[in-house]
Amino acid sequence: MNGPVLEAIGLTKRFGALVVAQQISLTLAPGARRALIGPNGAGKTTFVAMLSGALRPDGGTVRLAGEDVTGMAPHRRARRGLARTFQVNSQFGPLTVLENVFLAVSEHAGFGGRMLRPAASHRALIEQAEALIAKLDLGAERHLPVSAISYGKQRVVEIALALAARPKVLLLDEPAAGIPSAEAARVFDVLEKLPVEMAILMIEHDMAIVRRFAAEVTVLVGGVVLMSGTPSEVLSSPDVRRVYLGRAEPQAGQGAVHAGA
Amino acid sequence: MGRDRSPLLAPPRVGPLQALPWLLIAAAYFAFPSYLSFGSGILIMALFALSLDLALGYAGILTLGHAVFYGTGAYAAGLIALAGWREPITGVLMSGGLSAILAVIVGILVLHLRGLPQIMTTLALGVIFYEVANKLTSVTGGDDGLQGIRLDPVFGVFDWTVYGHTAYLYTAAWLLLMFLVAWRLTGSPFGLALQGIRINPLRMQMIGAPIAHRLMKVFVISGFMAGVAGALSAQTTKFVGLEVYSLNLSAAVLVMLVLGGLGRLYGAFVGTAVYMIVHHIAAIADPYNWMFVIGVLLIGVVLLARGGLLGVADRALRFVRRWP
Repeated sequence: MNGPVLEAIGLTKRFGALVVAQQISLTLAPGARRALIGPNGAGKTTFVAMLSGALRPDGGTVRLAGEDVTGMAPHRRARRGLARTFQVNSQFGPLTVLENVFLAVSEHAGFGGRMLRPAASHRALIEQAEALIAKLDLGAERHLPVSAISYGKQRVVEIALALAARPKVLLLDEPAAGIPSAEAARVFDVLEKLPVEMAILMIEHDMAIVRRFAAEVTVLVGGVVLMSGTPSEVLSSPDVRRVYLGRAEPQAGQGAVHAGA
Repeated sequence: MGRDRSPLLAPPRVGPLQALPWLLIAAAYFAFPSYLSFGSGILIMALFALSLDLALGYAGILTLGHAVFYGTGAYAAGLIALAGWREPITGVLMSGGLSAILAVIVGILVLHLRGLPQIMTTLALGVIFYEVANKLTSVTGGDDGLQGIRLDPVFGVFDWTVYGHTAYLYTAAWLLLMFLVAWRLTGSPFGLALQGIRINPLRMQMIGAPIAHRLMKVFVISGFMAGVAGALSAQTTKFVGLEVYSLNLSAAVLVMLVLGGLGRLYGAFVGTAVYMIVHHIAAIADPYNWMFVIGVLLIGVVLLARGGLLGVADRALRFVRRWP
Protein backbone atom coordinates (compact mmCIF):
# COMPACT_ATOMS: atom_id res chain seq x y z
CA MET A 1 0.00 0.00 0.00
CA ASN A 2 1.33 3.42 -0.92
CA GLY A 3 -1.18 5.79 0.68
CA PRO A 4 -0.86 6.97 4.24
CA VAL A 5 -1.51 4.25 6.79
CA LEU A 6 -2.84 6.66 9.40
CA GLU A 7 -4.59 9.96 8.73
CA ALA A 8 -5.93 12.36 11.31
CA ILE A 9 -7.96 15.10 9.66
CA GLY A 10 -9.06 18.15 11.66
CA LEU A 11 -9.36 16.38 15.01
CA THR A 12 -11.01 18.59 17.60
CA LYS A 13 -11.80 17.92 21.25
CA ARG A 14 -13.44 20.17 23.80
CA PHE A 15 -14.01 19.64 27.49
CA GLY A 16 -16.73 22.17 28.21
CA ALA A 17 -15.39 25.55 27.11
CA LEU A 18 -11.83 24.28 27.07
CA VAL A 19 -10.57 23.36 23.62
CA VAL A 20 -7.76 20.84 24.11
CA ALA A 21 -7.35 19.88 20.47
CA GLN A 22 -8.22 22.11 17.58
CA GLN A 23 -8.17 20.97 13.97
CA ILE A 24 -5.17 18.71 14.40
CA SER A 25 -4.18 17.01 11.16
CA LEU A 26 -1.36 14.57 10.73
CA THR A 27 -0.57 11.68 8.41
CA LEU A 28 1.77 8.75 8.74
CA ALA A 29 3.07 6.89 5.71
CA PRO A 30 4.25 3.29 6.06
CA GLY A 31 7.67 3.38 7.68
CA ALA A 32 7.18 6.86 9.11
CA ARG A 33 9.24 7.84 12.14
CA ARG A 34 7.52 10.90 13.53
CA ALA A 35 7.91 12.52 16.92
CA LEU A 36 5.15 14.54 18.54
CA ILE A 37 6.52 17.16 20.89
CA GLY A 38 5.10 20.04 22.85
CA PRO A 39 4.90 21.36 26.39
CA ASN A 40 2.65 19.71 28.95
CA GLY A 41 -0.98 20.50 28.31
CA ALA A 42 -0.33 20.85 24.57
CA GLY A 43 -2.89 18.14 23.86
CA LYS A 44 -0.52 15.29 22.92
CA THR A 45 -2.15 12.73 25.17
CA THR A 46 -5.63 13.82 24.09
CA PHE A 47 -4.60 13.52 20.47
CA VAL A 48 -3.22 10.01 20.93
CA ALA A 49 -6.35 9.03 22.89
CA MET A 50 -8.46 10.13 19.90
CA LEU A 51 -6.29 8.10 17.55
CA SER A 52 -6.49 4.96 19.69
CA GLY A 53 -10.21 5.33 20.36
CA ALA A 54 -10.14 5.97 24.10
CA LEU A 55 -11.59 9.45 23.46
CA ARG A 56 -14.17 10.36 20.86
CA PRO A 57 -13.36 13.55 18.97
CA ASP A 58 -15.94 16.34 18.72
CA GLY A 59 -14.90 16.91 15.15
CA GLY A 60 -12.63 15.47 12.50
CA THR A 61 -11.83 12.06 11.07
CA VAL A 62 -9.38 9.27 11.79
CA ARG A 63 -8.52 6.92 8.94
CA LEU A 64 -6.61 3.71 9.42
CA ALA A 65 -5.29 2.21 6.18
CA GLY A 66 -7.91 4.22 4.32
CA GLU A 67 -10.83 3.12 6.49
CA ASP A 68 -12.75 5.63 8.59
CA VAL A 69 -12.35 4.46 12.20
CA THR A 70 -13.41 7.70 13.94
CA GLY A 71 -16.24 6.13 15.93
CA MET A 72 -14.75 2.66 16.21
CA ALA A 73 -14.10 0.97 19.58
CA PRO A 74 -10.44 0.73 20.64
CA HIS A 75 -10.27 -3.06 20.40
CA ARG A 76 -11.48 -2.98 16.79
CA ARG A 77 -8.83 -0.44 15.85
CA ALA A 78 -6.28 -2.63 17.57
CA ARG A 79 -7.38 -5.56 15.44
CA ARG A 80 -7.00 -3.43 12.34
CA GLY A 81 -3.38 -2.74 13.12
CA LEU A 82 -3.21 0.18 15.52
CA ALA A 83 -1.21 -0.43 18.68
CA ARG A 84 -0.12 1.88 21.44
CA THR A 85 2.07 1.90 24.51
CA PHE A 86 1.50 3.91 27.66
CA GLN A 87 3.67 6.51 29.32
CA VAL A 88 3.05 4.86 32.68
CA ASN A 89 3.63 1.12 32.49
CA SER A 90 0.30 -0.54 31.86
CA GLN A 91 0.69 -4.29 31.90
CA PHE A 92 -0.62 -7.34 33.71
CA GLY A 93 1.62 -7.09 36.77
CA PRO A 94 0.90 -10.36 38.56
CA LEU A 95 1.27 -12.41 35.37
CA THR A 96 4.64 -13.48 34.02
CA VAL A 97 6.33 -11.80 31.05
CA LEU A 98 5.48 -14.81 28.90
CA GLU A 99 1.85 -14.78 30.01
CA ASN A 100 1.68 -11.05 29.27
CA VAL A 101 2.99 -11.45 25.75
CA PHE A 102 0.89 -14.58 25.23
CA LEU A 103 -2.24 -12.56 26.03
CA ALA A 104 -1.39 -10.05 23.32
CA VAL A 105 -0.41 -12.73 20.79
CA SER A 106 -3.56 -14.71 21.52
CA GLU A 107 -5.82 -11.68 21.10
CA HIS A 108 -4.12 -10.79 17.85
CA ALA A 109 -4.63 -14.31 16.54
CA GLY A 110 -8.29 -14.14 17.56
CA PHE A 111 -7.93 -16.90 20.16
CA GLY A 112 -8.80 -14.84 23.23
CA GLY A 113 -12.34 -16.19 23.31
CA ARG A 114 -11.42 -19.86 22.97
CA MET A 115 -12.32 -21.85 26.05
CA LEU A 116 -12.14 -25.48 25.05
CA ARG A 117 -8.40 -26.22 24.96
CA PRO A 118 -5.83 -25.37 27.63
CA ALA A 119 -3.71 -22.32 26.85
CA ALA A 120 -0.66 -24.56 27.21
CA SER A 121 -1.76 -26.65 24.23
CA HIS A 122 -1.70 -23.66 21.88
CA ARG A 123 1.95 -24.30 21.04
CA ALA A 124 2.04 -22.00 18.01
CA LEU A 125 0.91 -19.02 20.08
CA ILE A 126 3.39 -19.78 22.84
CA GLU A 127 6.21 -20.12 20.32
CA GLN A 128 5.25 -16.80 18.77
CA ALA A 129 5.32 -15.18 22.21
CA GLU A 130 8.66 -16.83 23.03
CA ALA A 131 10.13 -15.63 19.75
CA LEU A 132 9.15 -12.04 20.42
CA ILE A 133 10.51 -12.29 23.96
CA ALA A 134 13.82 -13.64 22.66
CA LYS A 135 14.02 -10.89 20.05
CA LEU A 136 13.57 -8.25 22.74
CA ASP A 137 16.13 -9.97 24.97
CA LEU A 138 13.69 -10.71 27.79
CA GLY A 139 14.41 -14.45 27.82
CA ALA A 140 15.87 -14.51 31.31
CA GLU A 141 12.80 -12.85 32.76
CA ARG A 142 10.12 -14.67 30.86
CA HIS A 143 8.85 -16.67 33.82
CA LEU A 144 8.91 -13.78 36.28
CA PRO A 145 5.88 -11.67 37.14
CA VAL A 146 6.14 -8.38 35.28
CA SER A 147 5.76 -6.54 38.58
CA ALA A 148 8.99 -8.18 39.78
CA ILE A 149 11.33 -7.13 36.95
CA SER A 150 13.25 -3.86 36.64
CA TYR A 151 11.54 -0.73 35.42
CA GLY A 152 13.58 -0.62 32.24
CA LYS A 153 12.61 -4.17 31.37
CA GLN A 154 8.99 -3.35 32.11
CA ARG A 155 9.29 -0.59 29.50
CA VAL A 156 10.42 -3.23 27.01
CA VAL A 157 7.44 -5.46 27.94
CA GLU A 158 5.26 -2.40 27.38
CA ILE A 159 6.52 -2.29 23.79
CA ALA A 160 6.34 -6.07 23.43
CA LEU A 161 2.60 -6.03 24.21
CA ALA A 162 2.10 -3.59 21.35
CA LEU A 163 4.40 -5.42 18.93
CA ALA A 164 2.68 -8.76 19.54
CA ALA A 165 -0.19 -7.51 17.42
CA ARG A 166 2.19 -6.88 14.48
CA PRO A 167 0.73 -3.39 14.09
CA LYS A 168 0.84 -1.23 10.98
CA VAL A 169 0.85 1.85 13.18
CA LEU A 170 2.53 2.09 16.56
CA LEU A 171 1.87 4.96 18.95
CA LEU A 172 4.64 5.22 21.54
CA ASP A 173 3.90 7.41 24.54
CA GLU A 174 7.30 8.42 25.97
CA PRO A 175 8.83 4.98 25.58
CA ALA A 176 11.90 5.82 27.66
CA ALA A 177 10.11 7.78 30.39
CA GLY A 178 11.41 7.17 33.88
CA ILE A 179 14.14 4.71 32.95
CA PRO A 180 17.44 4.98 34.82
CA SER A 181 20.14 5.86 32.28
CA ALA A 182 21.89 2.52 32.83
CA GLU A 183 18.88 0.77 31.35
CA ALA A 184 18.00 3.27 28.65
CA ALA A 185 20.19 1.50 26.11
CA ARG A 186 17.92 -1.54 26.22
CA VAL A 187 14.92 0.50 25.17
CA PHE A 188 16.90 2.38 22.49
CA ASP A 189 18.00 -0.97 21.10
CA VAL A 190 14.39 -2.09 20.84
CA LEU A 191 13.32 1.17 19.20
CA GLU A 192 16.11 0.88 16.65
CA LYS A 193 15.13 -2.64 15.73
CA LEU A 194 11.44 -1.93 15.11
CA PRO A 195 10.35 -3.19 11.68
CA VAL A 196 11.15 -0.57 9.03
CA GLU A 197 7.72 -0.69 7.38
CA MET A 198 5.91 0.06 10.65
CA ALA A 199 4.61 3.63 10.93
CA ILE A 200 5.55 5.11 14.27
CA LEU A 201 4.33 8.17 16.12
CA MET A 202 6.29 8.85 19.28
CA ILE A 203 5.39 11.33 21.99
CA GLU A 204 8.71 12.41 23.43
CA HIS A 205 10.10 15.16 25.62
CA ASP A 206 13.71 14.15 25.32
CA MET A 207 15.26 15.92 22.32
CA ALA A 208 18.19 13.51 22.24
CA ILE A 209 15.77 10.69 21.59
CA VAL A 210 13.84 12.74 19.05
CA ARG A 211 17.04 13.48 17.11
CA ARG A 212 18.07 9.87 17.23
CA PHE A 213 14.85 8.18 16.16
CA ALA A 214 12.61 10.67 14.40
CA ALA A 215 12.78 11.66 10.74
CA GLU A 216 9.94 14.15 11.15
CA VAL A 217 8.77 16.20 14.10
CA THR A 218 5.35 17.72 14.73
CA VAL A 219 5.08 20.40 17.41
CA LEU A 220 1.80 20.72 19.26
CA VAL A 221 1.10 23.82 21.35
CA GLY A 222 -2.19 24.69 23.01
CA GLY A 223 -4.05 22.04 21.06
CA VAL A 224 -2.85 23.36 17.70
CA VAL A 225 -0.12 22.12 15.36
CA LEU A 226 2.57 24.80 15.52
CA MET A 227 4.78 23.30 12.83
CA SER A 228 6.05 20.08 11.27
CA GLY A 229 9.43 19.37 9.74
CA THR A 230 12.72 17.56 10.10
CA PRO A 231 14.24 17.55 13.59
CA SER A 232 16.82 20.20 12.73
CA GLU A 233 14.25 22.47 11.05
CA VAL A 234 11.94 22.24 14.01
CA LEU A 235 14.54 22.56 16.71
CA SER A 236 16.09 25.62 15.07
CA SER A 237 12.76 27.36 14.55
CA PRO A 238 12.36 30.59 16.53
CA ASP A 239 8.68 29.79 17.10
CA VAL A 240 9.52 26.48 18.73
CA ARG A 241 12.19 28.12 20.84
CA ARG A 242 9.69 30.67 22.03
CA VAL A 243 7.44 27.88 23.26
CA TYR A 244 10.25 26.58 25.40
CA LEU A 245 11.13 30.11 26.54
CA GLY A 246 13.08 30.31 29.72
CA ARG A 247 14.58 26.87 29.17
CA ALA A 248 17.82 25.83 27.70
CA GLU A 249 17.90 25.79 23.95
CA PRO A 250 16.53 22.38 22.88
CA GLN A 251 19.77 20.87 21.64
CA ALA A 252 21.90 22.16 24.50
CA GLY A 253 22.97 20.30 27.61
CA GLN A 254 22.17 16.60 27.57
CA GLY A 255 19.67 17.44 24.89
CA ALA A 256 16.65 17.17 27.11
CA VAL A 257 13.78 19.58 27.21
CA HIS A 258 11.63 18.52 30.08
CA ALA A 259 8.76 20.80 29.42
CA GLY A 260 7.36 21.11 32.87
CA ALA A 261 7.70 17.39 33.42
CA MET B 1 11.30 -15.24 43.25
CA GLY B 2 12.92 -17.83 41.00
CA ARG B 3 10.36 -19.64 38.92
CA ASP B 4 11.02 -21.93 36.04
CA ARG B 5 7.67 -21.75 34.38
CA SER B 6 4.67 -19.58 33.73
CA PRO B 7 1.95 -21.39 35.66
CA LEU B 8 -0.91 -20.30 33.42
CA LEU B 9 0.87 -21.65 30.36
CA ALA B 10 2.03 -24.88 31.96
CA PRO B 11 0.20 -28.03 30.91
CA PRO B 12 -2.63 -28.79 33.33
CA ARG B 13 -1.77 -31.69 35.56
CA VAL B 14 -3.69 -33.71 38.07
CA GLY B 15 -1.59 -34.46 41.14
CA PRO B 16 -2.54 -35.78 44.56
CA LEU B 17 -3.41 -32.25 45.71
CA GLN B 18 -5.89 -31.84 42.87
CA ALA B 19 -7.49 -35.17 43.72
CA LEU B 20 -7.67 -34.55 47.46
CA PRO B 21 -10.97 -32.61 47.59
CA TRP B 22 -12.73 -35.36 45.63
CA LEU B 23 -11.28 -38.09 47.82
CA LEU B 24 -12.57 -36.20 50.85
CA ILE B 25 -16.01 -35.83 49.29
CA ALA B 26 -16.05 -39.57 48.63
CA ALA B 27 -14.70 -40.40 52.09
CA ALA B 28 -17.30 -38.19 53.78
CA TYR B 29 -20.02 -40.26 52.13
CA PHE B 30 -18.86 -43.34 54.00
CA ALA B 31 -17.59 -41.68 57.17
CA PHE B 32 -20.61 -39.51 58.01
CA PRO B 33 -23.71 -41.39 56.82
CA SER B 34 -25.94 -39.45 59.21
CA TYR B 35 -24.71 -36.06 57.95
CA LEU B 36 -25.38 -36.53 54.24
CA SER B 37 -28.01 -33.79 53.99
CA PHE B 38 -25.60 -31.38 55.61
CA GLY B 39 -22.92 -32.65 53.21
CA SER B 40 -25.17 -32.02 50.20
CA GLY B 41 -25.70 -28.49 51.50
CA ILE B 42 -21.93 -27.92 51.57
CA LEU B 43 -21.52 -29.28 48.03
CA ILE B 44 -24.30 -27.03 46.73
CA MET B 45 -22.81 -23.94 48.35
CA ALA B 46 -19.40 -24.94 47.01
CA LEU B 47 -20.89 -24.96 43.51
CA PHE B 48 -22.49 -21.58 44.14
CA ALA B 49 -19.16 -20.20 45.38
CA LEU B 50 -17.44 -21.73 42.34
CA SER B 51 -19.82 -19.85 40.05
CA LEU B 52 -18.97 -16.63 41.89
CA ASP B 53 -15.26 -17.39 41.57
CA LEU B 54 -15.55 -17.37 37.77
CA ALA B 55 -17.24 -13.97 37.76
CA LEU B 56 -15.38 -12.32 40.65
CA GLY B 57 -12.15 -14.23 41.19
CA TYR B 58 -11.22 -14.50 37.51
CA ALA B 59 -13.06 -11.77 35.63
CA GLY B 60 -13.20 -9.27 38.50
CA ILE B 61 -16.96 -8.65 38.29
CA LEU B 62 -17.90 -7.24 41.70
CA THR B 63 -21.28 -8.63 42.59
CA LEU B 64 -23.23 -8.64 45.82
CA GLY B 65 -26.33 -10.01 44.15
CA HIS B 66 -25.31 -13.41 42.88
CA ALA B 67 -28.24 -14.93 44.77
CA VAL B 68 -30.58 -13.72 42.00
CA PHE B 69 -29.23 -16.55 39.84
CA TYR B 70 -29.21 -19.09 42.64
CA GLY B 71 -32.74 -18.11 43.70
CA THR B 72 -34.08 -18.13 40.15
CA GLY B 73 -32.61 -21.60 39.61
CA ALA B 74 -34.15 -22.81 42.87
CA TYR B 75 -37.63 -21.46 42.17
CA ALA B 76 -37.47 -22.67 38.57
CA ALA B 77 -36.57 -26.20 39.66
CA GLY B 78 -39.28 -26.18 42.30
CA LEU B 79 -41.94 -24.88 39.93
CA ILE B 80 -40.92 -27.25 37.14
CA ALA B 81 -41.29 -30.22 39.53
CA LEU B 82 -44.58 -28.94 40.92
CA ALA B 83 -45.88 -28.49 37.39
CA GLY B 84 -45.38 -32.20 36.89
CA TRP B 85 -42.01 -32.39 35.16
CA ARG B 86 -40.30 -34.67 37.67
CA GLU B 87 -37.21 -35.79 35.81
CA PRO B 88 -34.45 -34.18 37.91
CA ILE B 89 -31.55 -33.80 35.45
CA THR B 90 -33.46 -31.98 32.73
CA GLY B 91 -35.07 -29.99 35.54
CA VAL B 92 -31.63 -28.76 36.62
CA LEU B 93 -30.61 -27.96 33.05
CA MET B 94 -33.76 -25.95 32.40
CA SER B 95 -33.38 -24.07 35.69
CA GLY B 96 -29.72 -23.30 34.97
CA GLY B 97 -30.70 -22.18 31.49
CA LEU B 98 -33.24 -19.76 32.90
CA SER B 99 -30.61 -18.29 35.22
CA ALA B 100 -28.26 -17.98 32.24
CA ILE B 101 -30.89 -15.99 30.34
CA LEU B 102 -31.37 -13.83 33.41
CA ALA B 103 -27.59 -13.31 33.48
CA VAL B 104 -27.77 -11.78 30.00
CA ILE B 105 -30.28 -9.20 31.23
CA VAL B 106 -28.46 -8.49 34.50
CA GLY B 107 -25.19 -8.42 32.55
CA ILE B 108 -26.45 -5.68 30.26
CA LEU B 109 -27.22 -3.62 33.37
CA VAL B 110 -24.07 -4.18 35.41
CA LEU B 111 -21.14 -5.29 33.25
CA HIS B 112 -20.31 -1.86 31.89
CA LEU B 113 -19.94 -0.65 35.49
CA ARG B 114 -16.91 -1.07 37.69
CA GLY B 115 -16.12 -0.74 41.38
CA LEU B 116 -18.67 0.68 43.78
CA PRO B 117 -21.43 1.39 41.21
CA GLN B 118 -21.23 -2.27 40.15
CA ILE B 119 -21.49 -3.48 43.76
CA MET B 120 -24.42 -1.18 44.50
CA THR B 121 -26.33 -2.10 41.33
CA THR B 122 -25.98 -5.85 41.90
CA LEU B 123 -26.96 -5.38 45.54
CA ALA B 124 -30.04 -3.37 44.55
CA LEU B 125 -31.05 -6.01 42.01
CA GLY B 126 -30.77 -8.66 44.72
CA VAL B 127 -33.06 -6.67 47.01
CA ILE B 128 -35.57 -6.13 44.20
CA PHE B 129 -35.69 -9.85 43.40
CA TYR B 130 -36.26 -10.67 47.05
CA GLU B 131 -39.10 -8.20 47.35
CA VAL B 132 -40.74 -9.29 44.11
CA ALA B 133 -40.58 -12.93 45.18
CA ASN B 134 -42.03 -11.92 48.53
CA LYS B 135 -45.00 -10.15 46.90
CA LEU B 136 -45.58 -12.72 44.17
CA THR B 137 -47.07 -15.26 46.54
CA SER B 138 -49.13 -16.97 43.84
CA VAL B 139 -45.89 -18.11 42.17
CA THR B 140 -43.37 -18.33 44.99
CA GLY B 141 -45.59 -19.22 47.90
CA GLY B 142 -44.32 -16.11 49.68
CA ASP B 143 -43.22 -16.83 53.23
CA ASP B 144 -44.48 -20.40 53.02
CA GLY B 145 -42.24 -21.15 50.06
CA LEU B 146 -42.68 -24.01 47.63
CA GLN B 147 -43.55 -27.27 49.32
CA GLY B 148 -44.45 -30.76 48.26
CA ILE B 149 -41.80 -31.04 45.54
CA ARG B 150 -41.57 -34.59 44.27
CA LEU B 151 -39.08 -36.00 41.80
CA ASP B 152 -38.56 -39.15 39.78
CA PRO B 153 -35.58 -41.34 40.69
CA VAL B 154 -32.25 -40.24 39.17
CA PHE B 155 -31.82 -42.02 35.81
CA GLY B 156 -35.14 -43.67 36.71
CA VAL B 157 -33.19 -45.96 39.08
CA PHE B 158 -31.85 -44.22 42.19
CA ASP B 159 -34.69 -43.24 44.44
CA TRP B 160 -34.43 -40.22 46.76
CA THR B 161 -33.84 -41.77 50.20
CA VAL B 162 -34.67 -40.16 53.52
CA TYR B 163 -31.02 -40.29 54.55
CA GLY B 164 -29.91 -38.39 51.48
CA HIS B 165 -27.58 -40.96 49.89
CA THR B 166 -28.86 -40.25 46.41
CA ALA B 167 -29.00 -36.51 47.01
CA TYR B 168 -25.36 -36.44 48.15
CA LEU B 169 -23.99 -38.42 45.22
CA TYR B 170 -26.23 -36.59 42.75
CA THR B 171 -25.00 -33.23 44.06
CA ALA B 172 -21.38 -34.40 44.06
CA ALA B 173 -21.72 -35.51 40.43
CA TRP B 174 -23.07 -32.10 39.39
CA LEU B 175 -20.30 -30.38 41.30
CA LEU B 176 -17.67 -32.52 39.59
CA LEU B 177 -19.16 -31.82 36.17
CA MET B 178 -19.34 -28.07 36.75
CA PHE B 179 -15.85 -28.04 38.26
CA LEU B 180 -14.44 -29.73 35.16
CA VAL B 181 -16.09 -27.07 33.00
CA ALA B 182 -14.69 -24.28 35.19
CA TRP B 183 -11.25 -25.90 35.27
CA ARG B 184 -11.12 -26.28 31.51
CA LEU B 185 -12.36 -22.76 30.98
CA THR B 186 -9.97 -21.06 33.37
CA GLY B 187 -6.96 -22.81 31.85
CA SER B 188 -7.89 -21.77 28.31
CA PRO B 189 -6.84 -18.62 26.43
CA PHE B 190 -10.28 -17.29 27.35
CA GLY B 191 -9.57 -17.87 31.05
CA LEU B 192 -6.26 -16.07 30.74
CA ALA B 193 -7.97 -13.20 28.94
CA LEU B 194 -10.45 -12.94 31.83
CA GLN B 195 -7.55 -12.46 34.21
CA GLY B 196 -6.16 -9.84 31.87
CA ILE B 197 -9.49 -8.01 31.96
CA ARG B 198 -9.56 -8.14 35.76
CA ILE B 199 -6.00 -6.87 36.09
CA ASN B 200 -6.00 -4.19 33.40
CA PRO B 201 -9.16 -3.79 31.29
CA LEU B 202 -7.86 -0.72 29.44
CA ARG B 203 -4.77 -2.54 28.22
CA MET B 204 -6.84 -5.58 27.24
CA GLN B 205 -8.88 -3.31 24.98
CA MET B 206 -5.74 -1.87 23.49
CA ILE B 207 -4.42 -5.32 22.59
CA GLY B 208 -7.67 -6.00 20.78
CA ALA B 209 -9.91 -7.79 23.28
CA PRO B 210 -13.67 -7.16 23.09
CA ILE B 211 -13.99 -7.01 26.86
CA ALA B 212 -17.75 -6.41 27.06
CA HIS B 213 -18.33 -9.58 25.07
CA ARG B 214 -15.88 -11.61 27.16
CA LEU B 215 -17.42 -10.44 30.43
CA MET B 216 -20.91 -11.29 29.20
CA LYS B 217 -19.77 -14.78 28.24
CA VAL B 218 -18.32 -15.60 31.64
CA PHE B 219 -21.23 -13.94 33.45
CA VAL B 220 -23.70 -16.16 31.62
CA ILE B 221 -21.68 -19.28 32.41
CA SER B 222 -21.43 -18.18 36.04
CA GLY B 223 -25.17 -17.46 36.13
CA PHE B 224 -25.88 -20.91 34.73
CA MET B 225 -23.76 -22.58 37.43
CA ALA B 226 -25.37 -20.53 40.19
CA GLY B 227 -28.76 -21.53 38.79
CA VAL B 228 -27.71 -25.18 38.83
CA ALA B 229 -26.69 -24.81 42.48
CA GLY B 230 -30.06 -23.27 43.32
CA ALA B 231 -31.90 -26.01 41.43
CA LEU B 232 -29.95 -28.67 43.32
CA SER B 233 -30.95 -27.08 46.62
CA ALA B 234 -34.62 -27.17 45.59
CA GLN B 235 -34.36 -30.79 44.45
CA THR B 236 -32.40 -32.13 47.41
CA THR B 237 -34.29 -30.32 50.18
CA LYS B 238 -37.66 -30.56 48.36
CA PHE B 239 -38.30 -27.00 49.46
CA VAL B 240 -37.70 -23.47 48.19
CA GLY B 241 -37.98 -20.52 50.57
CA LEU B 242 -37.50 -16.80 50.11
CA GLU B 243 -34.00 -16.92 51.61
CA VAL B 244 -32.70 -18.21 48.25
CA TYR B 245 -32.97 -14.59 47.08
CA SER B 246 -31.72 -13.03 50.31
CA LEU B 247 -28.92 -10.53 50.57
CA ASN B 248 -27.59 -12.74 53.36
CA LEU B 249 -27.00 -15.53 50.91
CA SER B 250 -25.18 -13.27 48.42
CA ALA B 251 -22.99 -12.00 51.24
CA ALA B 252 -22.39 -15.44 52.73
CA VAL B 253 -21.22 -16.95 49.45
CA LEU B 254 -18.84 -14.02 49.00
CA VAL B 255 -17.46 -14.56 52.50
CA MET B 256 -16.99 -18.27 51.79
CA LEU B 257 -15.12 -17.56 48.59
CA VAL B 258 -12.85 -14.92 50.10
CA LEU B 259 -12.22 -17.21 53.07
CA GLY B 260 -11.09 -20.04 50.81
CA GLY B 261 -9.24 -17.87 48.29
CA LEU B 262 -10.30 -16.01 45.15
CA GLY B 263 -9.41 -17.10 41.65
CA ARG B 264 -8.28 -20.65 42.36
CA LEU B 265 -11.48 -22.73 41.99
CA TYR B 266 -10.75 -24.95 45.00
CA GLY B 267 -10.94 -21.87 47.21
CA ALA B 268 -14.70 -22.16 46.78
CA PHE B 269 -14.58 -25.71 48.16
CA VAL B 270 -12.33 -24.99 51.12
CA GLY B 271 -14.03 -21.73 52.10
CA THR B 272 -17.51 -23.25 51.94
CA ALA B 273 -16.57 -26.35 53.90
CA VAL B 274 -14.77 -24.38 56.61
CA TYR B 275 -17.54 -21.78 56.85
CA MET B 276 -20.35 -24.30 57.07
CA ILE B 277 -18.59 -26.70 59.43
CA VAL B 278 -17.47 -23.91 61.75
CA HIS B 279 -20.99 -22.54 61.61
CA HIS B 280 -22.42 -25.95 62.45
CA ILE B 281 -20.14 -26.51 65.43
CA ALA B 282 -20.28 -22.94 66.71
CA ALA B 283 -24.06 -22.89 66.43
CA ILE B 284 -24.28 -25.96 68.66
CA ALA B 285 -22.13 -24.23 71.26
CA ASP B 286 -23.93 -20.91 70.98
CA PRO B 287 -26.85 -20.63 68.58
CA TYR B 288 -26.94 -16.83 68.70
CA ASN B 289 -23.35 -15.78 68.33
CA TRP B 290 -21.90 -18.25 65.82
CA MET B 291 -21.27 -15.47 63.34
CA PHE B 292 -18.66 -14.14 65.76
CA VAL B 293 -16.35 -17.06 65.00
CA ILE B 294 -16.79 -16.64 61.25
CA GLY B 295 -16.15 -12.91 61.61
CA VAL B 296 -12.89 -13.43 63.47
CA LEU B 297 -11.80 -16.04 60.94
CA LEU B 298 -12.57 -13.74 58.01
CA ILE B 299 -10.76 -10.78 59.55
CA GLY B 300 -7.78 -12.99 60.23
CA VAL B 301 -7.71 -14.25 56.65
CA VAL B 302 -8.18 -10.83 55.05
CA LEU B 303 -5.61 -9.11 57.28
CA LEU B 304 -2.97 -11.77 57.60
CA ALA B 305 -3.36 -14.23 54.76
CA ARG B 306 -3.51 -12.96 51.23
CA GLY B 307 -5.09 -15.50 48.95
CA GLY B 308 -7.42 -16.92 51.61
CA LEU B 309 -6.94 -20.25 53.38
CA LEU B 310 -5.55 -21.81 50.19
CA GLY B 311 -3.02 -18.98 49.98
CA VAL B 312 -1.89 -19.91 53.48
CA ALA B 313 -1.73 -23.56 52.50
CA ASP B 314 0.35 -22.65 49.43
CA ARG B 315 2.91 -20.80 51.47
CA ALA B 316 3.02 -23.51 54.14
CA LEU B 317 3.59 -26.12 51.46
CA ARG B 318 6.38 -24.13 49.83
CA PHE B 319 7.97 -23.68 53.26
CA VAL B 320 7.83 -27.40 53.99
CA ARG B 321 9.25 -28.28 50.58
CA ARG B 322 12.35 -26.16 51.19
CA TRP B 323 13.28 -28.40 54.10
CA PRO B 324 14.88 -31.52 52.77
